Amino acid sequence: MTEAHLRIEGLSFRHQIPAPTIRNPTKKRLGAGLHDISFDLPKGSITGLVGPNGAGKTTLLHLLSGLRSPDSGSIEIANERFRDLKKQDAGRNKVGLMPDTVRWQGNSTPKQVLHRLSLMNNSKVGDLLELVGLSSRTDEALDRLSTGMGQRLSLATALLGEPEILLLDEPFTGLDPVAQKALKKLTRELADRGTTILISSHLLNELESLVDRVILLHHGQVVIEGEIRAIKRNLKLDKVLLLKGEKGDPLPLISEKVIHSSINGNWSISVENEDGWSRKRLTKLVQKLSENGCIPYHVEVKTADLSDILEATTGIDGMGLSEHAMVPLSKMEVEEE
Amino acid sequence: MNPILALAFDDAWSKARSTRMIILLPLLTLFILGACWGLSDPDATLPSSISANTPFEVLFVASLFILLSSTLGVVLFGFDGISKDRISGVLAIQLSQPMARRSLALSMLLGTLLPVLIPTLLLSILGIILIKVQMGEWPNFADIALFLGATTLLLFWYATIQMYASSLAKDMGSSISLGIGAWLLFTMVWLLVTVLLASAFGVDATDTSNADFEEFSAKVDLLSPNGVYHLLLEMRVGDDISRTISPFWVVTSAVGWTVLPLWAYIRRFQKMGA
Repeated sequence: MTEAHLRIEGLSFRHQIPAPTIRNPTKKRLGAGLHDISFDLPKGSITGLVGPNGAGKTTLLHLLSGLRSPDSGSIEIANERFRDLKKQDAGRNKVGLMPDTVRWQGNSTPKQVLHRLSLMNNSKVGDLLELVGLSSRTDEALDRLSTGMGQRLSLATALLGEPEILLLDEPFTGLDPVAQKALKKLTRELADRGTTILISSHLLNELESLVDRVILLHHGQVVIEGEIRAIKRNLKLDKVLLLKGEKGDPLPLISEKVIHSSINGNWSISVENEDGWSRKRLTKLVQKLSENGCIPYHVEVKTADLSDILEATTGIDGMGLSEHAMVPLSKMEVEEE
Repeated sequence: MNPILALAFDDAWSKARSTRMIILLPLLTLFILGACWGLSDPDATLPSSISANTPFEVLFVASLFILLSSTLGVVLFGFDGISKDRISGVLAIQLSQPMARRSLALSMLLGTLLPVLIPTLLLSILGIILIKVQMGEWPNFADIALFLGATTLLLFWYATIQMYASSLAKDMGSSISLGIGAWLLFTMVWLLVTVLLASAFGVDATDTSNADFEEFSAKVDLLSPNGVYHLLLEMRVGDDISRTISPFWVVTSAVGWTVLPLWAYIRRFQKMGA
């Protein structure tokens, strides 16, 4: 899983916002966008694309699926370089996009929708509806599909033509827990078959249990990228230890920063160590407590999740983590003429 | 089958089974067959300004009814031809498919045109049969070809305008406004535009039947698809029409109306984001 299947190099894009004046009714100004995005996705990997609202996640997926043209940069899929997928049909043939919440309407049926798209895709529908769990609804009017069913149909459209790269924008929205589980299973199966998958989602818990790695976007830039475990380690997020016990007075025995303590017969203490909690350090502390009359019965290193990574890197949460914000502010371009 | 045509027929078939078609088809039937039958009735008394003494003259007058009904049909199918898919998010899926945008744009245009064009042409042919029944003679082949060809062009122009307008619209309100607005401009308000322009250019517009105004209106009509449609038909009507404008300008304008909006629409479609 080391070969780069999807390689993005220096991808930049700015939205053009209409700003008509009397002298120039078609005048546009540059708005937010993406700045110098570069990353590699290994073949058969599942990568989470996360970031706060307006970070540029959907814009990036639109560039990768040929809905928009980048201002600069390139996209390389399986060693084939594409400058602008919007103009290069052969490139779009390799990419499948499931957009964010499509509202399927009308009297057409899922079967007809896929047939129509297969004409554009020059591919066969096959058993796609069965694959996404819509085999009993193939001839049902789109108006009668629930949100979750619509999501399944959107997924089926993304899978048309067996794309090498699958882009999923908020795929879990509207899915019930069973369908979410099924989607994760399907995604994993596709990845195991060699499809490289990029998923943008706000449901971080769902994402964390699925993805191999994450790309965190903020203000249109890649703030951090890599395997979740490595990111946590680098950000030193696994640095809080929760200790519970009885007897003795543990506070004088602890040299690290105590961020919370409650001693009332039984005791409960949260201890922070900037360098994290290695097994050795943990054993040493527990041993020290035991030797001095304290009986610890609960030891837990609090595990940071994806939302902690998001907070730590963007500083958005305001829970004392803003000092970790890694956005290069000098690069945060303001809107310009 | 060519994917553009396959998609267009698929789209047209879907529209042919829609509620909009249930509304449109009786209208087309009443307007086109009713006009052909009524205008060709030897016992019918028409206003003195309307001359329908030959089969082609009947078709010429019946074209007014096509202008009202069939063009409205194109508006019905085309005003949200792109905007609906854009608002619902389906357009993003379509544009991400590996089909050239030009081809997709053409297939969507044809998908809007065909569900109106096919019934209009079939009803026009039935109308011609009704004229034969009433008047005992057929329009000659060139007349029929010109009538059907000009009608096809008219609907094509409207379909292109509607799809272009729909590609501009970002919500359903602006979609309806642009679609109906374009139709109202050319179908209902054009005479007012002509009068205003005539006044601005010093042409007497107090009497719309005077020769100067008719000459002027023929020129202004080159700027309207309805006007060009009628000018095309007028080329075969003969002496009953007092407007004289060179066929060269009429044909040039027809070519312009065919090429320019199509170019603008495809260009817009190629640039469009989802």
